[in-house]
Amino acid sequence: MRKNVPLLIGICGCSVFMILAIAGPYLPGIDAKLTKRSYYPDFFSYPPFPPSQDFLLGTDREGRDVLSFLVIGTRNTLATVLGMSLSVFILAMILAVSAAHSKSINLILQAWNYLFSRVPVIFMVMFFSLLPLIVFSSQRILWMMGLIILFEVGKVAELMKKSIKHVQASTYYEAATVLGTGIKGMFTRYYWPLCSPQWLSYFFTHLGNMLFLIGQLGVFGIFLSQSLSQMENGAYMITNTAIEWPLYISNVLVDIDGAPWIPITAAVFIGTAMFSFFALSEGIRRKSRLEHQGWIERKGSLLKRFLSKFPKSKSA
Amino acid sequence: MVIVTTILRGGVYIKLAARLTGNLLLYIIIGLLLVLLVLMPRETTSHREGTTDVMSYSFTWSSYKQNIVTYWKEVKENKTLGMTMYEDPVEEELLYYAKKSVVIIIPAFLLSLFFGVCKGIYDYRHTGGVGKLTGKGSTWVLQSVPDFFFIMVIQMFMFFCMKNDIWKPDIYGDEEWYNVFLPILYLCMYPIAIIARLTAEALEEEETADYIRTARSKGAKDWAVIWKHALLNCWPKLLQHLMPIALIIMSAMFVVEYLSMYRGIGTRLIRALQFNGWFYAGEPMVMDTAAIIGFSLLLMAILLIFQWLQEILTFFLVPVRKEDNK
Repeated sequence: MRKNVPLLIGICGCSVFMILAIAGPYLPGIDAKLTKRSYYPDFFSYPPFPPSQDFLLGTDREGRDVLSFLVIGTRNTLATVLGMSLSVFILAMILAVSAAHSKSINLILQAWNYLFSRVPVIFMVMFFSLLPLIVFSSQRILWMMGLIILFEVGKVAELMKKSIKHVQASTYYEAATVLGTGIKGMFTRYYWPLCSPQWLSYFFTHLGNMLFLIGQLGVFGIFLSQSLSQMENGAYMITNTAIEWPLYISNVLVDIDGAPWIPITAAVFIGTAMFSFFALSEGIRRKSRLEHQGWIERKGSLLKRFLSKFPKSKSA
Repeated sequence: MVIVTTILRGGVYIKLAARLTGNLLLYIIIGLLLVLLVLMPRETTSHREGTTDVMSYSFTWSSYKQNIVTYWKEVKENKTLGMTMYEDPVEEELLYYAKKSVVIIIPAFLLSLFFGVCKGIYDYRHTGGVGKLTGKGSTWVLQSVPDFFFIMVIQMFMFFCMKNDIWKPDIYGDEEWYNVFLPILYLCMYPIAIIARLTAEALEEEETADYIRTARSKGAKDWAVIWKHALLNCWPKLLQHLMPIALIIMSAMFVVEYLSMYRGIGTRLIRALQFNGWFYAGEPMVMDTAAIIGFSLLLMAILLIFQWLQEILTFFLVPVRKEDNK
């Protein structure tokens, strides 16, 4: 058997983040209350305090422990990302299957894709996030998530449709059509078993991409969940309310010199999570490819080439 | 005979022209939608409940119509898209910032294409042993790590150098001639990885083709097979990804310009979108409307140029394969 290193890395990474998301607040050394401090006996200055024995990764500008904040923020961050990707995939699956069977829906999908996938998503989200309709809405997070889903669904559905079309071009699919299998049967017995590894792999890539997107938005100080809060002069400002990783990147231009531990650790958390997602995605892809090649010998497959390189080891 | 071929070729050109017009129309539609969204009324109402201001936004068609009519009138009268918050006509600013951004986007695009293809060939040829790490492994890592992380690490390193008097470069802004290099480097990294992966995949697909086998059996050198035969057939596949790569560079442009304080289209648009950052209860949310409209349209124009580039290159460079024709 060939080793599948990416799958291993992906599973390990994702389980670590799963544990952080579920058990984060109960882990030792984590300040679940996220206490704000304006002073601390060891330091003769205002926060942020640099990393020390009491604060392994330092504190932020409000005196909260950075490590605790990031660990506790895992749940919110991953829930947001997971929620978006899941909705995108469920909607895209419905759209893709309908588009593969109905010409009019296919036309809608193409128009949708044409309109939304030719402009950078980050620009569109920035643009829409400042419409007064969304700023003053109490359901802002839903609006924002809805917008991102709207921009992403077309792209994902198009890819899914391609893999379904690939199945439809095969002879066994023709046989099923002749037998009169309906859409439901086609989905459960043909599309899903054949396409699901590819879709699953793409799902994790998408998860990573969504995390990247909210990280990028965080750099500009745009968050999915924001509210209006009053400043000292009576004016109102849009501020972030949720405890999420991107919050620590939002002040990066100032922090990178004065308190680099704040943005860097947040970026490390985002980067590691993205890395795990991509690793898992790659691992799933590799696994399905290896399985496939194990069963059916294709002309000049990767495995064949691999085996020809090492004629002695025929363990596979 | 000659006439028939000219007409046939003419028909092909008409197809190209139709595609280009379609793209133009698409971006005009998106641009118009964006303008209409910016012009949405921004008046808010508020009343006090105890010590808190309760703000709400009520949309009325009449004020929306008023906004559009006024804006259109001003555009027609003053022959400009409007004045920005710095009291300059938008066009002046567009020219200034567009120059700055083009200087980093075009080199970044070309460099990532060149190094991406080179890296792809390297990855394709080095698949065993150490090559696993230096080849596909490194490409994959480069592709999986967010660009802002790289930027932060490089900036921290620069700060470290500055504080220890090792080297004192000016890493922010756009005043010095060498300020363009860092943004170009930041912009390149992710597209290089993407192009490398696509190239390696395309080369692997070509590997089993008959013409490659023929070339190899005739004793052609490895580099000749790759550069003269396989790669030429990979271009069409790479060309399909030209627009996605342009989109990646354009979205990275926002973060890169912002983080390196490079005053280009990205930074300016973010500045315009951040509308003062605050406002009083009951007052309209002030926005740099003219700048947002101007720069959004400029962004659409740049994307349109990339889209056209892809269409035209595909039209002239991609030969229609027999199997595709069936």
